[in-house]
Amino acid sequence: MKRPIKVLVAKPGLDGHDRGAKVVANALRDAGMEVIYTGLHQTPEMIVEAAVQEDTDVIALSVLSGAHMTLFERVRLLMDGQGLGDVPLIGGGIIPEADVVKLKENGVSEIFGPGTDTRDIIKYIRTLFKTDGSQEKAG
Amino acid sequence: MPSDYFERFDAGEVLAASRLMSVVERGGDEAEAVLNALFPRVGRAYRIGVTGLTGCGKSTLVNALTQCYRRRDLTVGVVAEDPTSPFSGGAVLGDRVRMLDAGGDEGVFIRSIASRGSEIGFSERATELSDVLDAFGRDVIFLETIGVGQLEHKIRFSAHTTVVVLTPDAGDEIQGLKAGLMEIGDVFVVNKSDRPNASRFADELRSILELRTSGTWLAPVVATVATEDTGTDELIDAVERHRAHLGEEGRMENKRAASLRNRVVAIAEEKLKELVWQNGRIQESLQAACELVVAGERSPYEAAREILKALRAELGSGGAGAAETSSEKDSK
Repeated sequence: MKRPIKVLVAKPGLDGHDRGAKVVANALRDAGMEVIYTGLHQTPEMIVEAAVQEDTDVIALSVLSGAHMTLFERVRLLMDGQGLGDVPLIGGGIIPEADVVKLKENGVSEIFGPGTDTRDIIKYIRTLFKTDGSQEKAG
Repeated sequence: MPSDYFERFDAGEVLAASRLMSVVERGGDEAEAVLNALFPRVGRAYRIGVTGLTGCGKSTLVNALTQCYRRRDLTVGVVAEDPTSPFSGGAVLGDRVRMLDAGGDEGVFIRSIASRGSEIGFSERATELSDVLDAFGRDVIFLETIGVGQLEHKIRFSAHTTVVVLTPDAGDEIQGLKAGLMEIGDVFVVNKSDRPNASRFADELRSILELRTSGTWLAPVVATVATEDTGTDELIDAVERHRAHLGEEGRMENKRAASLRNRVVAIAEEKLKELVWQNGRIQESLQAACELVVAGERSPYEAAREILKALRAELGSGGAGAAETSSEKDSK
């Protein structure tokens, strides 16, 4: 029996604007996914700890504060070090194009900028797993 | 499933426990194999069920209780339920947001689950996930469920102590509360008790509970304001008093026996249903019976009896029409 795709939506750091993250969380729910929403002010350590406990399929970070390079790198490092090397890391927020390129060269699978249609995010996540919206893990 | 998951689980690795929980969540033969392997180690943890309507403050209370137990140097597991959207099949599982005090603390393991619409299935899955946490070595496990009616009575079989959380919302009368909710609580909490009519609500609740005649335990009513951590010490005391009560006169053993029996029955019933409905002869009989009912030649009751006749014939003939189960296929 398959289970729905489980996505962790987190806001690391000091950034206090969560409307975007909530919009994405609700859109993913409406697309049949299960979203672990961790709330604001999460440290990278807390985010990865949550992903490990919940065995999430994807981690999505929302960063509007400008600290994206440090935060994404730290989360990716922790994921790799704690057995989540196969788990995709995606994100959104205010991130300049040049940084998007760098992030994607360093273990971030995709970045969705402001104004992204949530349907594109849903489509993307589904292509990472089976296209019927559920996910069968191999392990 | 990687063969070293059990080794890593034994070594205390959280990811291994988490992955085993996912195997259990998916159900089927693999889930059973994991639960069978872990069963000998299940039974040490103290399980506290916390139920109440959405918005009553369950998660905030569980957070406060978790911190109390952590201060006593006990490890905690939490299985927290949120409702699955009946429209999309998805869910936002937000209980972790209320448990931020647990962030970065290895002594707290939180697992969120979606109700997934299945009424019978839910409580069983939550119990199974708490079995994994129990086998993993957690001292106290919270099972946090949304109290939506039919599920409530099932939690009393999954938890040692059931805490029912209510709020004194304006206009609510005690009489409006579902009878079932009143029966299953071992400890009642009036949260958001800083609201007007909170103490009258609590008093009414106490009078009703005094009239409850089953059992030897008088369920206390504790007033809390979870967001201010008020009343949580009294709540823990109430839970611990119930735990001590269970420790007397073999009540704990009786409860365990009843709980295990209930689980065996529930699992067997699921398997029996599957066995019956997947049988080819029964399917034929069902089809024929339904046609007769639709044509007005049989009542639904007569039709059901005919299906039962077909079942007895099947059992007599050794199940010639049975569908093969996957485990039977494997053993061939």
